[in-house]
Amino acid sequence: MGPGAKPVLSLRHVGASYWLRKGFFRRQRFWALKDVSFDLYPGESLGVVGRNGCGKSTLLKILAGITRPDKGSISGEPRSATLLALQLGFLPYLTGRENAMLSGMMLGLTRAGIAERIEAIAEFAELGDFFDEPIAEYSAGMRARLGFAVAFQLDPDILLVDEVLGVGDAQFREKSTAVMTEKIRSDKTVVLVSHNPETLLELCGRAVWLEDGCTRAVGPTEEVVRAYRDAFGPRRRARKRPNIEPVTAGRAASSDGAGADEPGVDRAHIDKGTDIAHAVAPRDAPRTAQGDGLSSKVQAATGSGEKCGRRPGRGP
Amino acid sequence: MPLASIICAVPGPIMRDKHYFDLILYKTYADMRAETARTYIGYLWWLIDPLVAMATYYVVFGLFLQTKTEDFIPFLLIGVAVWQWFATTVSKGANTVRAAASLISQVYIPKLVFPTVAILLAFLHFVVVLLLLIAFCTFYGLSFSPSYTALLVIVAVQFLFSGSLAYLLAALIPFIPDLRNFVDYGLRMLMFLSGVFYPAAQLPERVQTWFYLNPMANLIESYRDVLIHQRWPDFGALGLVALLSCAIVVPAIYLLTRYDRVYPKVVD
Repeated sequence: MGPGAKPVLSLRHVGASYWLRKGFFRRQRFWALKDVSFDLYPGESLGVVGRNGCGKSTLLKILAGITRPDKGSISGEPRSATLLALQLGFLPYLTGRENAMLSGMMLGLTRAGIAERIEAIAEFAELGDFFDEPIAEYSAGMRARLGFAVAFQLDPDILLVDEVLGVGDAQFREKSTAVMTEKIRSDKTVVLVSHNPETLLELCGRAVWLEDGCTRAVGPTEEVVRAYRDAFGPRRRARKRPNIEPVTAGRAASSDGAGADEPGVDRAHIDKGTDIAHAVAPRDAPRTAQGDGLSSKVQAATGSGEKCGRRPGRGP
Repeated sequence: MPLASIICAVPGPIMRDKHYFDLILYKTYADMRAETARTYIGYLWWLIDPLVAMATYYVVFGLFLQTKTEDFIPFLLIGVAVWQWFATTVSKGANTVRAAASLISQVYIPKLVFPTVAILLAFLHFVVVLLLLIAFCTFYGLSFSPSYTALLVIVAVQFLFSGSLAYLLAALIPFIPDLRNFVDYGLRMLMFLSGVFYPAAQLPERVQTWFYLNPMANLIESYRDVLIHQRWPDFGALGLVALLSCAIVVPAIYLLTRYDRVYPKVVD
C-alpha cells in the first residue's frame, strides 16, 4: 500500500518547542519543530532526511507519543507507535533473561508476549549460557546483541527507527541489518530517520526532508534525496545553474500558502509524484534570486525560515 | 468512605491498563533483584541498615545522654524502622521521574509508574523489617494484644502519607530541580522533630502541642502505643494524617497525569 490509501497518521503544521533555562526565572522558548506536515500511509516506509539539529529526534518523539506537539495537529489513531530503542532500561546486575523481560515490557510488549518470545530472543542474541548471567559480565558487543534481539521483537502499528539498522561485530551486524532491512521492506509501517541518503534510497519509497524544523520536501525518495543533495551534497555546484526557473518559485509560493490549511488539498499537492517541484520549490525560490552557489545554501535556509515565520513561533 | 476511594484512585490510571500494572510489579521485582544482586549478602542489608542506625542512636542517646524511658531498645528500634521507611520512600520516590530521564525520552511510560515502583520497593523492605520487629518485641517479653490489629491501619496511613509526598515531589522536581536539595534538608530536620529517639513525654507541655502537628510524630507514637504499651493508637490523629495525605496526593496525581507528556522535555 502507499499513497492513495487512508493515511495512518497525518501531521499538519506541527510545531514543538522547548523552554531553555536562561537564568533565575528567565526562560527562552526554542522551536525545534516549526512547521511539519506530511502523511504516513499504512504499510509504507517513510524516510526522514535532514542535517543535524533539523528536528528529527523531536519529530520522532512526537510520532512515538512521548511528547505532544505545541501547535498544529496530528490525526489518525494508530494503536501504538514505538521507537526502536536498544538496551532500554537495562540494569547491570540482572541476567540477560530478566533484562529482556524488563526492556520488552518497557517497550510495550505484554508480559505474556515477551515471555513467549524469550527463547527466540536468546537464540537471536547468540548468548548461549550467558543469557542467564548478569549483563554486567557481558562485553559491549554481547549487550548490544541482546538489546537488538529484544527491540526487534517489537511489533507496533508504526515502527520508528532512528539510524539503527545493525549492531555488534561484523558478523552480527550483517545478520541484524538483514533482518531489520527485511522488516522495513515488509508491509510494516515504518518511519526511518537517517543521515545517510543511500539508506533511504535503498529502503524507503517516500521521504520527508526536514530543514530547520520545517518540511522542505515530501515525495518519492529519489526526488527528495536529489533535492537534499542539491542543497547540501557534494554535487550541489554542478547542478546549480539548470535549476534556476522563476516560474517554479511563483507556483511554489502560491501552492504553499493557499492549499496548506486544507488537509485534502495539502495531501494532494504533496503526494502527486509529478508535483514534487511544489514541495521542493521553497529551496529553489530564493536561489533564483541569488545565483551564487554558496549563498544559495544560506538563502535556502532563510527561505524556509521565512516560510515558517509566517506562522509565528508563539503557538497556542 | 473517602479514604478508601482515594487509596483506589491513586493507582487508578495505571490499574486500568493491565500492562502498566504488570510493568510496575516487574520493575519493582527487578529493582529489588538489582539491589541485592550487586552485594554478597544481598537481602541481609535490609536488616543491617536499620540495625546500624539503631546501634548509633543507642550509644548516643541511651548510653551517653541517658535518655530515661522504659524499654528503650524496642522504643528506639520502632522509631528507627518506621522513620527509615518514611525517609526511603520520600527521598527515593522524589527523584524517580527525573532519574528516568533517558528512559522517558525514548519510550512513552506513564510517569506515575516511577514513583509507584519506589514506594512499593520501600514498602517491601518495611514489611520484612516490621515482621522482625514484631518477633523481637515478643522475644523481648512484650505480649500480644488485640490492639495489634490497629497496625494494619497505622501502616496503611503511613503508606498513604509517605506515598503522597513521594508523588508530589516526583511531580515537582523535574520542574524545580532545586527542590531535590530541600528534600534532604527537610528529611534531616523532620527526623529530629519526630521523636525517633526521645519520648514526647519528655518535652515541655508547651512544645508538645507543636510536636504533634508533625504527622510522623503521630505515626511513630502510634506504633509504640501498639507494640510497647499494648494499647489502641489515637485514631483521630491517624484520621487527620490520612486526610492530609489525600489533600497532597490528589494534586500530585493530577500533576503527574497532566504533564505526563511534558516531563520528557523538561528532564532532558
